[in-house]
Amino acid sequence: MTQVVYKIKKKFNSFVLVTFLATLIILLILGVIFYDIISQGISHLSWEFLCDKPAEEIRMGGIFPAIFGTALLVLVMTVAVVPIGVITAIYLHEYAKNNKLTRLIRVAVNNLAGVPAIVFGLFGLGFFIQFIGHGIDNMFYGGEIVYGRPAIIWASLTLALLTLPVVIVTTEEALRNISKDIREASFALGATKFQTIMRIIIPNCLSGIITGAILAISRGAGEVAPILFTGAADLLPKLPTSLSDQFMDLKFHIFVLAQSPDVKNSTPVLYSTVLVLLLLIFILNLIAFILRSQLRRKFKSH
Amino acid sequence: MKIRLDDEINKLRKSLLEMGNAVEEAIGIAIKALKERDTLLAKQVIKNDVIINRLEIQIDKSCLKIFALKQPIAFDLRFVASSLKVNNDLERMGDFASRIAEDVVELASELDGQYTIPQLNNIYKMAEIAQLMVKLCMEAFMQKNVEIAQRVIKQDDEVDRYYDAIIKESGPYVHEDPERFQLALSLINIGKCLERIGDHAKNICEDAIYTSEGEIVKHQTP
Amino acid sequence: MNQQFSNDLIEKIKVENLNFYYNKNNDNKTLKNINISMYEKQVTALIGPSGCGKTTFLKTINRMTDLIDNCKVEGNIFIDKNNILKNEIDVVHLRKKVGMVFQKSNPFPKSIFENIAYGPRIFGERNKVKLTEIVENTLKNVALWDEVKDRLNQSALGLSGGQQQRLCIARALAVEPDIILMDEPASALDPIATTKIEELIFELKKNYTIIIVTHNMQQAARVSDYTAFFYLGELIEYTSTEKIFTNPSVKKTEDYVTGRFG
Repeated sequence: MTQVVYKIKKKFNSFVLVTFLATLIILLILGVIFYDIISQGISHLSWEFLCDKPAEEIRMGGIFPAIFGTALLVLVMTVAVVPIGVITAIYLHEYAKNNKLTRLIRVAVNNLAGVPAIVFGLFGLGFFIQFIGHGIDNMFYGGEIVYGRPAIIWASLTLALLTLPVVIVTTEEALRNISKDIREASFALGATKFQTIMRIIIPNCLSGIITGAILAISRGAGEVAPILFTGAADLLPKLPTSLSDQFMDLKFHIFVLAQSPDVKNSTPVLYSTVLVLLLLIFILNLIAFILRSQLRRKFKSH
Repeated sequence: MKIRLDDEINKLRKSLLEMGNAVEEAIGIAIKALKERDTLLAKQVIKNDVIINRLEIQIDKSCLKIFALKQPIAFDLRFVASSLKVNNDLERMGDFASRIAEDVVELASELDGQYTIPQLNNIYKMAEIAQLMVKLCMEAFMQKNVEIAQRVIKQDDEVDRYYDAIIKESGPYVHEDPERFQLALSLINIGKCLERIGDHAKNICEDAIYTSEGEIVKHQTP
Repeated sequence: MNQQFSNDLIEKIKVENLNFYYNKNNDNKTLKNINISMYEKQVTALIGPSGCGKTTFLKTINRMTDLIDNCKVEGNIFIDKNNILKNEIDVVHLRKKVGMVFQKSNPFPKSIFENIAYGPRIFGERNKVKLTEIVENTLKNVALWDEVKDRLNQSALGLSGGQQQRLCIARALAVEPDIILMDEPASALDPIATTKIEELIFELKKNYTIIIVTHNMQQAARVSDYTAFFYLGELIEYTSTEKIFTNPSVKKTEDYVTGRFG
């Protein structure tokens, strides 16, 4: 009897050991990556690096336009994807009847999540730029090419399409978590469906919606394929001032730098740029996290 | 739902008190009718028995309603259950008062001129005690007063003794004075009624003790 | 089955030939030809075994059954002589007039104040002073004011089960209904909280017509003036509570209340 007990104890302990080791390995790998990036990147990091434009001499310039471009890109993407995603989720969960059309929509959303990023890029080029962009130009600008070319608006919208499934799914999950009881109570008091959604459901889903936004930001800030043909460019003379302008982007800049023949000079710049990109994503996520936890705290003490 | 149960129980108490007073009064008036040889007064007692009977039906209904709708337990349960029995005892007492009055009506002529029938004194004394017992037994029941209840239970012995005396005194009338046979019988009957009233008062006191303490004291040998 | 009990009573709700189908595609009736009149400022209890249709019946009165997909309602329900089953009826206004309290208390994840102010706000009340007055009055009506007056801005979810249920009742009262429907309001509560709710119903009866579904027959006996016994979707007996619990007319009713089935 005690033999069996001892064996079980051993097994249990080794299971804990195994899982602990697995976690350790993952953390180690992550640690190595971070260490590599930080140690090599921090050397070139400086205030001028962050604030200057890129120069002819790779080592002399800065990456401020790329930082600005990436941040603006992600911002416009978020402004586009969150409302559309939330409204779609509300439609699917609150209004849509359980019929073929609804099932079709859900299938489409799920499949959208599996489309490769480069395909989104091509779609952005063909649909947003050539169809809609040219269409706008013909209608409002008399043929002059304003929107019918790569622009930050089209890159953001393409990224928004990419991250749309994530927002829809997360929001729907949050909607599902609101118990039927609360809705019933609202209806029984005489509220319409719209009032119930606006006053009870959305306020209680905000935490989930922001989670969706966080996931979208993380994904969107890291994808480079969709923005290749739709708006990103390198070494632009000025910052984008309107939505129809092109923009510089950190990831694209990294892509370009990595192909530079001047390996000796470009490598430290490359590492620093990567570090800045990671920091940017981290800060964006941090802002969203803080926002979400403030909201949660407000609801708890409410 | 304590509030509503208390409301219903208070209504019940009020009805029982009303009935107790009516019975007490009936006995008093019946004996007064006997004293004053007043047939009209006696007939009033007989008529008023209807009121007592109506109260009995009302109290029965109230108790049933309380059981069905209010689920009384513990003290409240004992009180309502005992009220059903007290109700019955009171109604019987009312009947006996009525019967006394009936005898008074029959005797009215016979008693003319007969002012010093010895049994009458005993009857008056018995009636006094009986009336007091009715008053006190209701007090004991309503106020959960075990002491009064026990005192009244003892008083029943006194009533019984008076009854024995009346029978002894009435004996000669039966044998030696056939003319006053009716008188003797009636007097014995009135005595019997009063004795039974005493017994019912004793029952009420035993119920009072049960309601108050949860202990059944009836059928115990003294 | 429609008995007029006394001439002092005013008919508040009149149900005529009510049939209810959970699935309009099949003939399975949840409610079969219900005819009943319920009286103003009286408490009417609906009793019967599980699945007999009493909760469904309750929900037709404020058209909460509209929320069930694919159901069908036939017949008429007159409230103050208006047929509320007609399509032209403003359901929002109906639900203001006919409030509902549910089996499991369901306060919104908001503050106590906001929970109660929700109803009046829906109907356009913005004045902060008026809202504060409404909150105080309804909380006093449900005997909760003293317990929560110092924490109106705290989350309603921090209250105990019995307090939450009383809050839900106050919330329903805030829109000034005539009729309050209660679906087993005390079934999730401990005995003391249950007693508080029952005493509250007794107080509320003075101003509101109350229809209460309950599984607990003793509760129906304690609290209601009239009781309707439902079985398998049919109304078997409807009479004064005293009669149903002392001497019901129908054998099935007697079997149910004496606990011999269901």
